[in-house]
Amino acid sequence: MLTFRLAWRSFLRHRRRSAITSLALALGLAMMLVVVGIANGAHARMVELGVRMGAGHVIIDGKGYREERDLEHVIKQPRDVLAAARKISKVRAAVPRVNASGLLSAGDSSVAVVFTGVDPSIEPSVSEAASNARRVAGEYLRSHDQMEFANQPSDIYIGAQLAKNLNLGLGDRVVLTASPRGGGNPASIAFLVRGVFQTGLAELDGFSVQIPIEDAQKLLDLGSSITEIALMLEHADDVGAVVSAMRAAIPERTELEVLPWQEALAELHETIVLDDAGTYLMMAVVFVIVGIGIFNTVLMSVVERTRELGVMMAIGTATGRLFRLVMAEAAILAVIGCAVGLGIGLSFHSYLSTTGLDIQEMFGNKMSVAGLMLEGRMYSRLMGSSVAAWTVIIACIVLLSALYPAFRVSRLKPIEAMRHV
Amino acid sequence: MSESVVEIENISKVYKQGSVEVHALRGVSLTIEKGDFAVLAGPSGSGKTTLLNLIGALDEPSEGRIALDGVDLSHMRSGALANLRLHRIGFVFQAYNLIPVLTAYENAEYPLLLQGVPVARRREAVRRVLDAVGLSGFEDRRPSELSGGQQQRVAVARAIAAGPALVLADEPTANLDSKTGTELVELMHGLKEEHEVTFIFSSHDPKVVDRAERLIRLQDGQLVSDERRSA
Repeated sequence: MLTFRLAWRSFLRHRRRSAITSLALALGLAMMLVVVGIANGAHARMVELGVRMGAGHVIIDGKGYREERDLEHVIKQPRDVLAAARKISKVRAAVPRVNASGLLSAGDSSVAVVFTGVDPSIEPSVSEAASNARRVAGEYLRSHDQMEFANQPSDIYIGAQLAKNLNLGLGDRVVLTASPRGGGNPASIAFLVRGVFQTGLAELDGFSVQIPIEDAQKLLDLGSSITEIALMLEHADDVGAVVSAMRAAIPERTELEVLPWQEALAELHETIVLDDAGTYLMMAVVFVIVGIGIFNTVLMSVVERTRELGVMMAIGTATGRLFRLVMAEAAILAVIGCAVGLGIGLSFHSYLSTTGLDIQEMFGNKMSVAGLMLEGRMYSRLMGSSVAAWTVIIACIVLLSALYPAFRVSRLKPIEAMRHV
Repeated sequence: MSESVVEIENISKVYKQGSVEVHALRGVSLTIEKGDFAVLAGPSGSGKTTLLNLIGALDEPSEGRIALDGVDLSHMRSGALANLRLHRIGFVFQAYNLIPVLTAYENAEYPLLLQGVPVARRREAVRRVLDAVGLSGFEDRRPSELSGGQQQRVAVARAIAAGPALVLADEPTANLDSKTGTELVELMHGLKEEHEVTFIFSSHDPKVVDRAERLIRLQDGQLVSDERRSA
C-alpha cells in the first residue's frame, strides 16, 4: 500500500508529463483497435464475397480433382455426402455443383466459357452471381420440374459481358458444347437465355454461365456424379470445426477431400495473411515507439529523483521496495493509458461497426483486392478476446520498458545517489 | 556507568579517484557512549562525513571494524544493512531530506510504515515527535510548503520517530540561517535530554560545535582530539 501510495503521488507530481505519456499509450492502443478492427472487417467482407463469388466456406470434391481438373475425380454418391453435410448444425446450406468448361455458340459466334451446373432452388441464396441483386435482366434458372413442357430447352443464365459479346437477348437460343467424361466425342445441348447477371468481375461476367445441374450431368455423361459440394456456413469462423466434422463424416474409401476456403481460395487467404502481417508490422513499430517513450519517461523520472531515492535508501528502504515503486509507477501509467485507450478505441470501433466506412468515399473508387470488388460499406470487427490480448500486450510493453529503470534504481548506492544533483 | 552504542576499531577508508588513492580515514578508533551528544569537527576533507557514513552503515571501511549495539557491520549484506539502518539509526542530512510527495506527517511516519508498526501506535508516535519538534498543525504540509528550518525539523522528527539507538546528523545546519540553525541545535539537545537519544553530528558550524558535549576533532583522516565538555 505504501509503495502504491508513493507511486500514485509520483504519478500526480508531474501531471502534464504523466498525462502526455498516458495519452501516447492510449492513442497507441486506440489506433491498434481501430486499424485491426477495420482490417478484420475488410477481411471478413472479402471472405464473404470470395465465398459467394466462387466456392463456399468449405469445398468437398474428389481426391485429385484440384490437381487434374478432370472428370475422373468426382463425387460419386452426392446424396450421401449432402445428407451428411446437412446434419452438421453450423452448415447453412450444402450446395451440389458441376463445374466444367465448354464452348458457348450463338449463331456464327462461339466463346469458351466455364459453366456451372447448379440446383436452381438453392443457388440464388448462396452465390453472388445467382443472387437477385446481381441480376440485370430476366429471371433466374428454373429446374427441370418447373418447366412447362417436358422437352422444352433448359434455361441458361449468363454474364452481362458475355451476352453483349455474343449479342444475346432474353429468350435467345444458344448451344453449349463440351467433352464428356472419358474423352468421347463432344456433346451439345441447346439452351434459351433466361437471365443475365453482372458481378463486376470480368471472369464471371464475360466467361461464365449457369445451367441446371441435370443438363451438366447429361452433357458430361456424369450420371448422378457431381464435381463439388460447397458448404455455406452461418459463421466464417466455424470453418475449422466444420471441416473436421465433415472429414469425420465421410468414409475413407469415398476418396473425397474436404477443403476450407483458406485452401480453396488460396490467393485470397494469402492476401489476407499478408495484409495482417503488414498491419502487425506497422503496429509493432508503433509499439516500439510507445515503448521507447515510456522508457524515456520512466528513466527521466528516476534519474531526476536519484537524490531522493538515495535518501529513501539511507533511511532504510529496501532496494526491492524501490524496484517495486518504479514498477508500480509504470503499472499506474499502463492502467490509465490502457483504460483511456480502450475508451477511445472502442468508441471509434462502435461507430465503425454500426455506421461503417464508405469504401468509395475512402478510396475514391471501388477497390479490387485479390480479384474481388469491394464496394458499399466496410464495418469494423473486433473480438473481445483480441481486444483483451492487445491491451495486455500494451500493458506488458509498458512494464518491460520500466524494467531497466527499475533495475537501475535497485542498484543505486545510497551515498552516491545522495551526492547526485 | 555508560554502555557503548558504537565501537570503532582502527578503521581506514581509501577511495580511488581515478588512479589516485585518497586516504579519507587513517586508523581511527572511537567509542560512542549511549546518551552522547557528540560532534565530529574538522575542516572539509578531514574525513568527518566519511566517518559518519561508516557509522551509519552507508559505506564500508577499507580496514578495521565497526560494531553498532554490539553487532559487527562487516560482511553484512546490503539488505541486512538497510534493515539495520531502518531499525537502529535515524538520519538527518544537510538538505532535501524529505520525500517530496509525502506530507510532513507522512514523512515522519515513513520509517514506522517500513517497520510495519500498527496504525494506532504509529499515529501516536508521529503526533508525539511532531509535537516534540514544534510542528503540530503542519502535518498536512508538503516539504515544498515548509521553510528550510521546518523541513529539517521534520527530518529530525522522522529520525527519532522509531526510537533509534542513535541519530546521525550530517551538517544539519549547513543550509539554515544562524537563528534557525541555533534553534535546531537547541531542539536536538532538548530531545537528547528528554528522550535519551544519542546524537552524532558532523559539522564545522560553531553553533553546533559550541553545543557539543563531546567534541571529536579530525584532521587529514586522523583523530586529533576527543574532549568531553559539560553542557
